[in-house]
Amino acid sequence: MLQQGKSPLLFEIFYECKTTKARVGRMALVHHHVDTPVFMPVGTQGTLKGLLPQQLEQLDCQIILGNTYHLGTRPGINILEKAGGLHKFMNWKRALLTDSGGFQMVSLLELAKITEDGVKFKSPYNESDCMLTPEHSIQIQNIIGADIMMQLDDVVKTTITGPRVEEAMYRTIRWLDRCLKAHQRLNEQSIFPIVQGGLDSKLRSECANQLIKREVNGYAVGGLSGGESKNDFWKMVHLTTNILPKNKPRYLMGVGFATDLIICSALGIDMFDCVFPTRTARFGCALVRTGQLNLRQIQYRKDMRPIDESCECSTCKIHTRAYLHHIVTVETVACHLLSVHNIAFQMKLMKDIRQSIQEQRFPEFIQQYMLHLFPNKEYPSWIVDALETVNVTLL
Amino acid sequence: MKFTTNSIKSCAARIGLLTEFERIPNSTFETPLVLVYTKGGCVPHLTKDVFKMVTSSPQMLSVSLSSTYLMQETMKDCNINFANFVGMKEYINFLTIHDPASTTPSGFREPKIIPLWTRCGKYAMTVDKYMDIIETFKPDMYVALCDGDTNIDSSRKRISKSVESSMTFFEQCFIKHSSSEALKSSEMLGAIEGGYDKDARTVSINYLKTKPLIGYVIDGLHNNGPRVKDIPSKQIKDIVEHTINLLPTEKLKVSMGCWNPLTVLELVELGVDIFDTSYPYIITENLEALTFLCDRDDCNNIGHVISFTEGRYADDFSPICSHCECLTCKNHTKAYLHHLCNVKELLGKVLLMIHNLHQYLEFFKIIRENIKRDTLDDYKKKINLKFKQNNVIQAEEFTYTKDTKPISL
Repeated sequence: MLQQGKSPLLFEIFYECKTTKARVGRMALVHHHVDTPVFMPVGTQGTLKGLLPQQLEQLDCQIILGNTYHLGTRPGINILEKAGGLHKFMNWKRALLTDSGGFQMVSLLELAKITEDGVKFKSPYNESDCMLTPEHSIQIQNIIGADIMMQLDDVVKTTITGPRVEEAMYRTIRWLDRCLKAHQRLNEQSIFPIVQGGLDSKLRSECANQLIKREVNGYAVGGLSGGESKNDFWKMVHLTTNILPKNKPRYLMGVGFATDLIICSALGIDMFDCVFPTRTARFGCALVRTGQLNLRQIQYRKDMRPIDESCECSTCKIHTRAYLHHIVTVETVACHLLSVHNIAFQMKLMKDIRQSIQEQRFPEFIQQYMLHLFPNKEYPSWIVDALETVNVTLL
Repeated sequence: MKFTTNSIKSCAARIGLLTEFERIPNSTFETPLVLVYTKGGCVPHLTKDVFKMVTSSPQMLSVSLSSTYLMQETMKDCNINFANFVGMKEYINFLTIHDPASTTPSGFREPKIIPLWTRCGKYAMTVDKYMDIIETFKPDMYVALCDGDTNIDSSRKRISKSVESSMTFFEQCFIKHSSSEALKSSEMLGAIEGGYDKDARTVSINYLKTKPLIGYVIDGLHNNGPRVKDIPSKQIKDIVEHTINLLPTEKLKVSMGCWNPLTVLELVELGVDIFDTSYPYIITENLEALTFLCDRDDCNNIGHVISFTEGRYADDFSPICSHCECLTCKNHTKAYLHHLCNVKELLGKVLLMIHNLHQYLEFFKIIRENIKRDTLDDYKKKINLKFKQNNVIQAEEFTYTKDTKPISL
């Protein structure tokens, strides 16, 4: 494929951890640069849960996600096309990433059926038969105009085994080629292929080995974080990052718990996304280093401390747990305040990860973090095993 | 706290000045003033940092006990006043009993008690209980406990009962207030009751006008909530005129509730000094944007509001008003607002609240400018037109459907 002009994604690695597979880098995208490892908050419907673009910039978010299935349904591609893409529609000036729409379709629509052609489904609005093909997914994503697009993949539940996993893996490769062919805005957007193959090492390796033969700007690891055991999870991540080329960013889809972010950064992942921080905010939960505080609980009624004494976010600077306790799930402002804090928490964690890699003290950072989380040193075995493979022994 | 006005005429639009607040000595507010409506200690939908993007000027907040009552135990036990507890200490606050934006249930009366309606049900407020709470909240201004459960339909008996019990409540509150060490920096206002009965109003006023108060709340005209915006100014004009005529000119007059802008102008002309922003909040909850200040032809804003439940904004990529200086209009289109409202995303109400609050604060700036220039009457006519035009259009559509000639304008 002949590409003219500048690549829409330039990835540069600045520092590599001498112990683990972690690295610090920067992606230069058309709309903004992104420091990696990065956590990308999810703004499903062209907005991030009540926060203004200005607030996201203040929180130092460099890239957020949009969901193709939702956006394609409402406002619909006609409106997005007339608006000149999602950036302009929502007035977000920094980078965007969109998924393919396939995953949501399979998980949200009971009647979705996957054929070689694409995902067949009934419209939830008028019951008519619709088909999302790889070509169609890219066409929509070209209109949305995100800096990074995802290929349409054939997603199967991680707990499924047998020939269906293999079929889905090979189909994902065939669909990638159709996606790449359909892509119309080569100078502005990049397609990331998605490594599938369930929890089968052979299939995962085969898929990754096939995908790296294609000329793309980055790769995603998909089909994980769907209820499989943590033991299977980390092994698949580890195996995949070993195959993927070092000079391209690697995106682990749907992962966002603090522990997972740290361990998977150590396994060589550069990008993460998850709805968890903003979803849990809506239920009145605030993220802290030791887990989360459910501010609805009566124990916070007279707690005059901020959520986290060391947090620099506007919520922690202004409000107490006691005040938040009184307004959570009553005032929408409580949801906004917790979203601000939870995103600030994720951003700070990633910044700490980057900084410790840069200063060659990432292994110590991991040790301290885990010790803080498990003060009696009863570490889950998967954490111990995953870290051992990248030469980190917990204290 | 001090209120001064140069007005010598009763029942006239006037400029006044609120100064010398004990808690924030350098704060001053010009009247007619609009208090920023809060619920549960916050401006609805706006975190404090976003509220500061709407206005960087000092503001006075209206706080209702019904939306904050459940916090009082924590505040009392932790020995913290309301302004500090909710993180709004740089703003002067004014505490009322009921929430002007939600309808206060009528009835449920018992002797010596005012029912307080919270999201967890009804609480019986006695004078002792009420003044205890006030001592915990330490508001900059508040209203003496009163029975304002009257409206246009109230019976004579109900009205006279409300006047009578409010006088008793006031008497007791006043004694407590005067001897309270904790309330030395707080101002208590008296509530004028009497529904739409002039004689009853006179009784209430005659009792209160001799008390050493900074001002009065003209209460008992409605039971709060969204329907207040539909009360036409002609309904309240007579009774408010009667009330203000009998009250000392130099004292502050407050009228709470989500009055529509036309009624606000009428009340300003009658000499009311303080209002609140429950109206733009109600408009926001309806997924509407205020356009009554917009007089630019290119915006094509004919009516006083536009509604984002209407499909016609789905592909309208212009702002609500191209001359509006608010964050919403500077950054976002009607199409985006329509989408957010359509998919029920929280940001929709955030952006509408920003615009509507900005518009309403601007409205009061314009009112003050027009009073100073002595042009309020012309301005009132202009705004009137904005509401009238809405009606004309509705009438026009109606005649078209009847398949007759439209009324010539």
